Amino acid sequence: MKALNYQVALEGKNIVKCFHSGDTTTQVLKGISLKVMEGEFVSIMGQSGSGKSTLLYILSGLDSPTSGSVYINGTDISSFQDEKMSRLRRQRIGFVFQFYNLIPNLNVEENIMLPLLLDGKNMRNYKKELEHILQTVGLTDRRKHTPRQLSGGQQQRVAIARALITNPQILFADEPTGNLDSKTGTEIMNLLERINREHGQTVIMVTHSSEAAKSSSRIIMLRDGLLKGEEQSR
Amino acid sequence: MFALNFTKKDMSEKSLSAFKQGRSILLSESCMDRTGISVNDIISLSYNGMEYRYRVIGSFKSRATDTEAIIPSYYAIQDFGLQTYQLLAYTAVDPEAIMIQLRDLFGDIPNWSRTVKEFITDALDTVEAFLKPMRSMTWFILLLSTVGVINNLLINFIQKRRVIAMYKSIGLSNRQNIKITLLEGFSSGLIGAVIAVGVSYMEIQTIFIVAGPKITMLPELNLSTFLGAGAAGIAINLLGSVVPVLKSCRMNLVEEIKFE
Repeated sequence: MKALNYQVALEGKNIVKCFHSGDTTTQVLKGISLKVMEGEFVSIMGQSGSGKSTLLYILSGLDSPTSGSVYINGTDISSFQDEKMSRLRRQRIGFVFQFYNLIPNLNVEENIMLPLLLDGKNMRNYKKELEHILQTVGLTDRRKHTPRQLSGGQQQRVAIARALITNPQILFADEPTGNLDSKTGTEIMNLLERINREHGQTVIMVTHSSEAAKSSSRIIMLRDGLLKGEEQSR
Repeated sequence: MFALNFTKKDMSEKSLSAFKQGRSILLSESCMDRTGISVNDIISLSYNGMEYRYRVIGSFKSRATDTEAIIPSYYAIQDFGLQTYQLLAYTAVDPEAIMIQLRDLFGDIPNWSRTVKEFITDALDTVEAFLKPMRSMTWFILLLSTVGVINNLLINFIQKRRVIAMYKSIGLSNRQNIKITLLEGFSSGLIGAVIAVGVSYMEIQTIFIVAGPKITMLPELNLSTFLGAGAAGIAINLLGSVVPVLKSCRMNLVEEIKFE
């Protein structure tokens, strides 16, 4: 078990996000600033339309803010061009989506190793890591199955393994239990909590489930695009 | 000489001198195949109880089935008593001058007289009249297939855009995506080109095999035409990859991957 290092893993400064539709402009995020320390497990909660997923996409570099900045380990990623941003996604960030987003025609092993492949790494050098991660997520006996042959919970575990294979600085998760039944959802949350506790993995998760948020160490509440407070969870 | 398609190039000159020297005969390739006669063999031709020995001096390719042998006109008259020609082939240094003389000689009497040059022009005109609509059709088919290929690639992209977004969300860069898409376009174009060239070749060969007894010549195929067609297929596929490449570079990742 690793202790918190109290170094800032991620910082968002005055993040604003507007969406334009015809002549109408909707401000979804209205100047959000937050810090996440290394080894923290942070949940972002809020009602539908509060901007929590938009905030997560901006913090993870999948989307860009209209104004404001995002720093990962002190580096401003807001101005990154495609090549740098892609490298950041491959090497320093892991992302778990609500709908898993696994490549349908690749098997479990191939899906997990994909970020390394995109990064030009030699797969042979990562056999140990693959075995370890398969054991961690409990999919050793399913390694040759394609996503279609797996249950929702198993697919989400593959997505978590894929996000962790590069040993990322931050793991982002967008409603990781949103598409699962409560029992499987609890299993996934236990897995994320274990990864955070045992490996000191920084996790930032968006959820609307207060049950899921109990696994995190801090809960940030969002309402109408603004931070409305936070609380320590465990 | 005779504008014949000789089996070997040097046969033309040899035949000309041999025709001046004595009884010589040129045989069609199909006739030689059928009878087993070879060049330099002596064969006997009989007429009215007389036998005449002719030396085979060469062979020629012919699609016509009623042209088996050619002998000098002098011996055609002397040995076989010919008094009129169905076809007179005449060699001259200035064929056009001779043709003017011949036409003056015939006057209003119906006849068919052509220099080799005129004959070839006539033949090409006839073939051209036949090929022109086919050529237009070829361009039309090419246009249709180009539209088809590009349309297929676009549909392929639309179906794959979510997968592309998934790849990009875990670190696929635009440069890597361009490489993959172009490689995909090139390889599918190459596979299509190989299949198309192979099928075309087999089709042409099949036509000649089916029509074999009537067409004794083998088709003379131009390698550059096949290679050009193959290269065009690859180029069209690469062209079709441009729009998917541009679209995937500009795609909004969140919109593509957020909902299933």
